[in-house]
Amino acid sequence: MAYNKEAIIIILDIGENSTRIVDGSDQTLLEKEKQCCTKLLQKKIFEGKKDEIGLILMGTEETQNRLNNESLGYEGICETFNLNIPNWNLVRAINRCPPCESAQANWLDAIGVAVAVLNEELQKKKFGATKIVLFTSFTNVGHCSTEKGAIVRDLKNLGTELIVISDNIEFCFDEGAGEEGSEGPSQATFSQMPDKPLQQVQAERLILEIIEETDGNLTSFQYLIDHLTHFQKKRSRLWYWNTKLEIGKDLEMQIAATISIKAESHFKFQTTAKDENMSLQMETEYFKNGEKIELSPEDKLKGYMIGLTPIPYDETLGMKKPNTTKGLRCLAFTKSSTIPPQLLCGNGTYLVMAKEGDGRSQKLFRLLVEAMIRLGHSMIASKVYMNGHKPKLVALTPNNSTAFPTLNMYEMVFADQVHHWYFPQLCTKKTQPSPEQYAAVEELIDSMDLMDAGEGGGEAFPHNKLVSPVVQNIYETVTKRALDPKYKVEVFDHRLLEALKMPQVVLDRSVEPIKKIKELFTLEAPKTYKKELVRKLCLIPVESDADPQAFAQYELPEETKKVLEIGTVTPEEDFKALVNEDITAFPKVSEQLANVLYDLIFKTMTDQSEKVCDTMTTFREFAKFYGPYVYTDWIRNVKTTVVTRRKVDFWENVVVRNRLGIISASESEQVVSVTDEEAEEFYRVNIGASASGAGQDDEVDVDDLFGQM
Amino acid sequence: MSWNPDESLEESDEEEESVGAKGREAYIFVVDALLFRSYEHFEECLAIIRDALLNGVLTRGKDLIGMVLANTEHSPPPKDSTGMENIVPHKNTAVFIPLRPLSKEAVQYYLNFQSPDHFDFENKYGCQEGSFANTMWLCTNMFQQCGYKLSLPAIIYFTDRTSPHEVNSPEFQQAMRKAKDLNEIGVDFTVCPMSDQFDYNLFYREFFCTVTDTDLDSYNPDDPRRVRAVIANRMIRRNFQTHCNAYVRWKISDDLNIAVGIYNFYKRHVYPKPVTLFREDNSLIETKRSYKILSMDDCEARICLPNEQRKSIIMCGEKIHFSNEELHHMKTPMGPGIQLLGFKPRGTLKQENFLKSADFLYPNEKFLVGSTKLFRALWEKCLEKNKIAFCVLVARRNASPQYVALIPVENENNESNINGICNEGFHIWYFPTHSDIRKLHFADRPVYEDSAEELDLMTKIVKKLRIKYSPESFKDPALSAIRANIVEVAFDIEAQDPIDLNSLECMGIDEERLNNIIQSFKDDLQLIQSDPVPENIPQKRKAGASQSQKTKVTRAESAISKEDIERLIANDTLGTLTVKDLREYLRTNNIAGISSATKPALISKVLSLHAQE
Repeated sequence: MAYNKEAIIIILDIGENSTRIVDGSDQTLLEKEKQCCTKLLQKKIFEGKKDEIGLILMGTEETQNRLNNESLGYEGICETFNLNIPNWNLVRAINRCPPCESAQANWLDAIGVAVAVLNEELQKKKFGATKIVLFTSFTNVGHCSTEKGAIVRDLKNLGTELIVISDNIEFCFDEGAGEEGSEGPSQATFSQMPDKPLQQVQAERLILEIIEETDGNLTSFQYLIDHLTHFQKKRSRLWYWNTKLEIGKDLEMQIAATISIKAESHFKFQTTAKDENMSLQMETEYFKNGEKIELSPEDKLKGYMIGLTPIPYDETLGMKKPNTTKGLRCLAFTKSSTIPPQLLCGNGTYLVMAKEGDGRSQKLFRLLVEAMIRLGHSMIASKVYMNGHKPKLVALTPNNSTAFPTLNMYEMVFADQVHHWYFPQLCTKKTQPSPEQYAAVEELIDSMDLMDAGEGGGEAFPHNKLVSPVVQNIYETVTKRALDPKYKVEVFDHRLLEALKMPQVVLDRSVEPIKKIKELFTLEAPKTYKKELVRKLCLIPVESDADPQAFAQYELPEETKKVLEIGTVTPEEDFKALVNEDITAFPKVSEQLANVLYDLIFKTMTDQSEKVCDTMTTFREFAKFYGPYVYTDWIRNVKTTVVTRRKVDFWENVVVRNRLGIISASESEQVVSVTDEEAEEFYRVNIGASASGAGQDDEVDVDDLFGQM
Repeated sequence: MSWNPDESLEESDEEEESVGAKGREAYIFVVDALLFRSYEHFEECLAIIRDALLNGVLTRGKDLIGMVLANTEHSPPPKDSTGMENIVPHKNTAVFIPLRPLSKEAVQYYLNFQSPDHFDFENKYGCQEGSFANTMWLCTNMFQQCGYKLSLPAIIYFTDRTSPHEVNSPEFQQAMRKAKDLNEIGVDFTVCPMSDQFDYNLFYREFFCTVTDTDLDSYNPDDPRRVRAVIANRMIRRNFQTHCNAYVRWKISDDLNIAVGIYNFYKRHVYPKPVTLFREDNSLIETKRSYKILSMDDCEARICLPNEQRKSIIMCGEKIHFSNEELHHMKTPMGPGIQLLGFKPRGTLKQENFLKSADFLYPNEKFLVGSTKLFRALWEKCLEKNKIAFCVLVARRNASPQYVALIPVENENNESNINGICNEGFHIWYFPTHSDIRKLHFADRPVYEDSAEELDLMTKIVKKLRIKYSPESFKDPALSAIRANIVEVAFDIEAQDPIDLNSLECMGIDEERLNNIIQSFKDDLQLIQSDPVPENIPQKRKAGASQSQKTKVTRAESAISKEDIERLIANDTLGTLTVKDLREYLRTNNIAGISSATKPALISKVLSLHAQE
């Protein structure tokens, strides 16, 4: 088994000088130390590593360490937490740790204690690496019981890395080292201040020597915080899909594929019950014809729906599973440029390489990739992930970024999935911008260039270093809530939100071009007369009714005074006005009219038969010319309602007397399949013997209605 | 600018949702009976509808389907005319299948209609030219009276005549007036030309542009062959006005917006959805899953309401809780929309870093008049200057923001534009974040030089196997197989040869030809010397290799005999066997249900097996 976990001892200085405010910030030294420690532990916790962490406090009033038990000295040093997998208690303890104004301890002693702890622990457990992280400012120096030589020797023997974090650190940039690509500055040293106490200068010199001799590290608080801020998910060991690539029957090679890009899901939240005493579980219930039933797995049968008919389709009924075998099989090669990137699907990118240790496969694979690069071709293959799985279509294209030949593998959509869109062309006469408009847009694009808008004049949002602010926010918020269950989550962290905004440089530069675009291009909401009308009517205050002048100021503009739709007051006039305005609107208008008439006939309390009769006559006359079927359909509907509601009076007095039945072929110029006989037949209704009681029924209905009111 | 983006678009969004998400899609296939005179076309047309029905019946069972015959001499009523009482077809039109959710019976009826005499078509229906407007009227009437709320009523018209009426005849004008009606009630119209040479300009271009309310000069004519293939697949050509994924605003600055729509390039779920049936009577079982709450003292479980729930995450053995609202605050810093951050040269974009499927961006004039013009200017200038727009996209409410590049794409001069898959607009390309890109460290591999002959040989092979890719080249064999099987079971259609998913034929590749090509290079291929296996394989790999060898050895020995097992049972040391060995042993004894069983379950199965014996 590989021992890749680490043992880390943190030494925190809480003594005399820890309440000093750190230069250039509003935090005390101890607060800085706590912040750094929290970040470090937070990272370890979230990355789910098995690294073990111990805590030693120096500068405490009491003394509790193994070296002090054995011999005297080592005062003011406490082993607070033994080496263990980090947990929230440890983080909380660090955050609660009060400064100790009166006590002093020697940092070299503290390292000595840490070495002793590691020495003992390493005999019990195995670790891949050991580290001591020392937080101190080297300003308080107590009595020292440890020799430098012994510490260096012990650190070397254990292979322990010493990391020292302090304030007043300067970074000197080596030439070329601070450039892009290199990880951080190369050399850190203590800043030279004229009024530094001699003790501190000596201490700093001493620690620098130790660091030098043991290959340790010196860094500042800020550098550490910056590096610990971004959350990275724990990487599991490299996983390979080992299979073979077949090109025909006689050419095959052993390959290995691994995921190179995939959207990570970082945090898995579960749904639980708010009430601590309740437990929550997901339950499946089965219903048959709306009734709940118990269903055992044996009673279940898989099937598919053909329209509304279920068709059983189950493996137990002899339906076969696909008989596919695992592997990649080449289907063809094609020019890389003909593979449309918009037809790639799936969840990311795979990297395919020849299997390690197989000489022939490596050679064949290398030749294949070379040939594909030479021709600018990609391979299209069928991929079966495991025996019995459905085959998928993949494209393999040469990858140039690795040291040895590899192919990128993407999943592609099948023909059955492709959407066939109809989009009108963008460039039409109507959308032709003027030269000024073009120039304004060009200016905008130039002003919003991101290539020099980043930090230090570099590229803003470099593509391979994009960080999701949402993941960072969850990471920070979960920690805060874990440390303080009362912590309120209200808004998104403003600092992180900056990553989703335009850089300030770009924002400033684009002000003028945007102003110009706003002047040149008109962008407005579509006109919705109806909404506007209602809004204007609603604006009229109630008391203004009495004052005609006040009312006048809300008078609608002239153009909106026209008839918009048919009302029940003057349906005939409305209809005529609308049809005369635009005859092509006849079908729509007549539909409106039909609805209004229907309401007038069947839903009014007062007698409207005269108005109805006139309107129907007009409607029928128009319909003869522009669409007889519209009227015919409507009057047929009316007839059925007449029969059910026994409105025999209306039928006789209005429809039959005025000959307002269906339009026959002889009446209309349009093609109508209604004969005169049929038209005549239409006037006859068979309401039956109860027809005489119709009036009474109506009265009862009305009474009922009033009663209900 | 009078338009307030926060108000107007949100509102319209809801309107769109209420129409788009609720309601069914309805399709009426209209067959021009005059096709009967050119019988080949008629048969092909029936075959296309058959495919469309069978493909649709499995995946889109809730859609309404109807079929109408136009230009018939007689108008016999459909076989089952319930719900059709109020619809009286005009002269020269006949309803063949009333508009309703597709049933097995309707498909069966249609399949019977495909018999050679087509229910005595000539006498029962006959052919006679009639009014196009009347047919459209019948269809709209069917949509209006179908009794369902429709999200998309669509007419698909099969014909081989380039214009139903003489140009400028009264009937022609009437048809154009009808197009306006179709536009008003939101009916989609597609013409499916049955002849390969089809002039859209006579009638259908104008008709179509009136129905969709678009400019005549923006019309893209379509290849008739492709239209037919698309309809048979039941992938009816999507209208950008009715099938938008999300309408959002593209924020150029705080007070400058363009209204845009986001569209998918492909459909994710094409497989028919399985259902659960009751074994005894094949009746449909409805499954509901819900959170049930159990209190400690009382055993009664009850449904847990959302306000009684919270979200928890376990970190270091401690549960950390958040309310649903808090989680929402943590995850969503901004509302839906595209925020422009700036422009970058196109060369900076590495398209090989593929994270997820791209989408398409097209302006929307409905919400903000003038959007298309600014969109077009940006698009043209980005193309000209070879730039991409770098943006943050939030596609829906509650979605997390994502960094995207908007890549301008042209319709013409695009090599990958096969059969018009490309449209003019921007592609939305999703960037992986730093943590999505895995840091892969590989051991160095030795570098070898290959001879020119060897490389030439491989180049020849690649060249021989070259094809011209088109998105229609490869059909999903597993999907075809399952469709064929279900249809076979449901309609008692004669069983065809089952699709062998293990062959390359099912993918449309001539496997024999491919094998023969490789065969012809076989001798040369054998001459290729393998690389010597380097000795300095890193330690880790070696350990892995020896381990795999070990497992191989144990596997070779793993044919565990019955005696061994009995001995182990007697000593009560069955647990010393590996899961693999236990499975292997059970498999040789034909015991089912072992693939996902745990070790204790496997042991109990072995014990019960021996107890039985």
